[in-house]
Amino acid sequence: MLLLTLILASFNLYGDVVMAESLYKEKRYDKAMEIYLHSIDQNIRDPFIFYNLGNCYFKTNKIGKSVLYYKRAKRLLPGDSDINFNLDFARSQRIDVLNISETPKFFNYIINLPDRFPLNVLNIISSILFFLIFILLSLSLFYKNKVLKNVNIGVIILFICFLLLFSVNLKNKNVKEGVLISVVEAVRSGPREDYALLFTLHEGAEFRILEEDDGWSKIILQTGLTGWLKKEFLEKV
Amino acid sequence: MNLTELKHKIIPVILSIAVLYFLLPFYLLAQNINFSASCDRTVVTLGESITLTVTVSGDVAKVPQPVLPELKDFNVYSSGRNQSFSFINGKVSSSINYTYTMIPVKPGKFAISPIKLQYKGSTLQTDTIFVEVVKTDQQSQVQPGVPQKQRAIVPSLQEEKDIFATVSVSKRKTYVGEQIIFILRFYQGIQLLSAPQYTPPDFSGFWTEKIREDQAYRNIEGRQYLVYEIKYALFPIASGEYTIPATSFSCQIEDFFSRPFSFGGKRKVVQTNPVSITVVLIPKQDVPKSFTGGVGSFNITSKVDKYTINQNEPVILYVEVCGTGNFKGIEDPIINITGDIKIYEPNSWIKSEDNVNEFRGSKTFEIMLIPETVGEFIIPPVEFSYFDPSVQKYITKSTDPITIKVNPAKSPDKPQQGILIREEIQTTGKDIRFIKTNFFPKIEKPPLYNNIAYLLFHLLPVICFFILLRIKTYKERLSKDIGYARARSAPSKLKKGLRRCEQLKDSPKEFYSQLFKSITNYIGDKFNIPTPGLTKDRIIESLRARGADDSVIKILLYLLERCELIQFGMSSFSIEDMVQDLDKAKEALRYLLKK
Repeated sequence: MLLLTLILASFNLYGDVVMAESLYKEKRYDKAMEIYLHSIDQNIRDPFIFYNLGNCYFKTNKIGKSVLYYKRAKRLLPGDSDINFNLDFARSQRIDVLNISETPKFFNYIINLPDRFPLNVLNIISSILFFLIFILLSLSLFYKNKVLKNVNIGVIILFICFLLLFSVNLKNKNVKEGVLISVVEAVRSGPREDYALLFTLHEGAEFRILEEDDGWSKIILQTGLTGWLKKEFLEKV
Repeated sequence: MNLTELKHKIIPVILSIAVLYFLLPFYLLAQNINFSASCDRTVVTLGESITLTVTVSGDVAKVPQPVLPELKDFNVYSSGRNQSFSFINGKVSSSINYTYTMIPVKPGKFAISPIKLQYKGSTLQTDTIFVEVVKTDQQSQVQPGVPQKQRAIVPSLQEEKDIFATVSVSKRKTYVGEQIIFILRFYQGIQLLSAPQYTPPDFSGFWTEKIREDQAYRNIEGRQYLVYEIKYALFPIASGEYTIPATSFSCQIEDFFSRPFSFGGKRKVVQTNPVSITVVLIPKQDVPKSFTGGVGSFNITSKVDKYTINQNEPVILYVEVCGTGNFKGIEDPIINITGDIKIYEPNSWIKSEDNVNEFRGSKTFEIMLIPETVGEFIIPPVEFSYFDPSVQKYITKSTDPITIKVNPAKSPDKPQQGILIREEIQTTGKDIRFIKTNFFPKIEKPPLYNNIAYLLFHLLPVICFFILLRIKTYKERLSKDIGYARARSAPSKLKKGLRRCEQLKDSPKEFYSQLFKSITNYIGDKFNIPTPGLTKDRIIESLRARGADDSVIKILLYLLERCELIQFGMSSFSIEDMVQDLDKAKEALRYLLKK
């Protein structure tokens, strides 16, 4: 019964998605956006809906929101090339350019590796390897075999690697990231208006949220710059 | 008035009337029209001609011919009309130029009264044009600015005065870079079959600019000539003696009598004289620092494209030198800006003015400056020196200083913190990728690691493994440790033995023998003592050593003794006794089992 309602809901959503598509094609981005936002209100967390919504925001010149939704889409589906392309494109349209130090490509690849897989996939692979370890261990109780032993060592090493990927991914997922959605905003040295202005950020700037205090968030930029920003101007990824 | 002159006057008039007559039907729908008149010059020497152009333009179609006022002081010839059409926004607009050649008959100041045009019931009229006619010898007084230009070399005397060519230069001795006006004139006193053709002379040693080319009627020694005039501005490049070779004009004249049946006519070539020019260097003493090669008469101005800029943004300084002289020889101006300002190489271009008697124009230098510090900076006056040959002196002129305000760059933390400002959004024609289409949206799945059932599921292989491990160690012990194996099997063996005892109640002897066996076997197995050598005393001894209760030992001792006695028929027994003994044995052994 539950499954049936889920399937029905999915079909209903499919109709919405098709409608939003045709609106998008007619360049009525505002209307398409409404439909996508409505489906998100219904607890839909689909990477493609986030991605399409990001496109709508981009087309209506809301760079901040488009970066936000591309990031949300990327969290759910890290390996999609369209999502990554559009996220980079939206980033390139921002006013602030974060001067990220150039890291070698290979090193970058290794660093980003955990985020390339969806969390649940890593979780399932780790689980399968865990089961495999015990099956092989059990077998080796009764059959003394060198090959079996070596295979088991390999599986254990693989399992440790995946567990590492999984935990790094989980850690990255739980990092509170934020995107600035207002056009330009002041970052202050403390959580009140009367604190000194440290710097200004423009729409679409990305940062991590370190702590929150009564309507203000302490943020840190990739460059290491920190400050306090009013909560209403940012949105958490 | 001789015949040729008459022919000259009448033919153009007849021709123009004919052309007008044929073209008139084209003007069908007239609406707004403009009507104006202009003269190519307002000061003219007696004997030269003035070209009067009357222009009718607008979205005209049917326009009547303008009516010229009566001009007593001029001989007026219509020298043609030309028309141009243009289509703008679906509307046809046209412009017609009527050209008249006017030759003054006496010196003095004259007014050409308004030319009238009748159009749709209203009369349009042009402004009055004033013309001054001077005598030939008065010319230098009238035009003091160009005193020597018109000093023509005496026309080379030709045997026939019908056609001839002259050359004139404004100066025969000049400075390097000074402008010389070089005029070629071709006089035509008779009708030609074709326009004269010529090749420009070899001006090597000079920069050459062709100023203009026109034609006019002139009266020389009482005879009317059509004069083609080609004007060049020459700028000597280096000092020395130069000779500009003779220029040949070739034309075809009617030669009816010698070749009556030929249409080509007779080719005739007339030549100018060669001209020699002496070029001397400009004075070397007192050369100002800011002299960049200009010879002539100039003015200098400067301006910038904006007065307020942001740091590290460019500001463009335009320095314009205008006037008359050798623009090509003027090098980049020297700009003495100090401070943290990047100065780029100037870019320059020359513009010339049309329809002037000498080469006149401007040279603009475009210099890009990028201030690197915030605040105000001043572009100091740009000095420009040139040599003016008319006063034979160097003259220095300078521009006004310009103050430019430099604001800090848009992001205050930019230089230190590494946030860059993009000046403008890149418009590379690129776009984001298109939306995803045709997918079934997924309902959010909670992450697996939050699911307790999923986590508990992982205990399954661990539990299985430990069970298997336990089984394996047990099996190993059984196969290796006899004592352990015997002890493990003792209770079940005992149970079996006692059960057989119960079945053997009918034969007391066997019953007691079985009971005895069961007890001794059990204790032997339990404590891993070989059964055959197990005596009563050893049993009790080993039980004591393992700390068994005395009462239990006593019971067992009694039971064992009784079994021995009855087995060998040395004691009496009843069925009740048998049941009692079995119960006692069970109880004692249960106690041992627990231990």
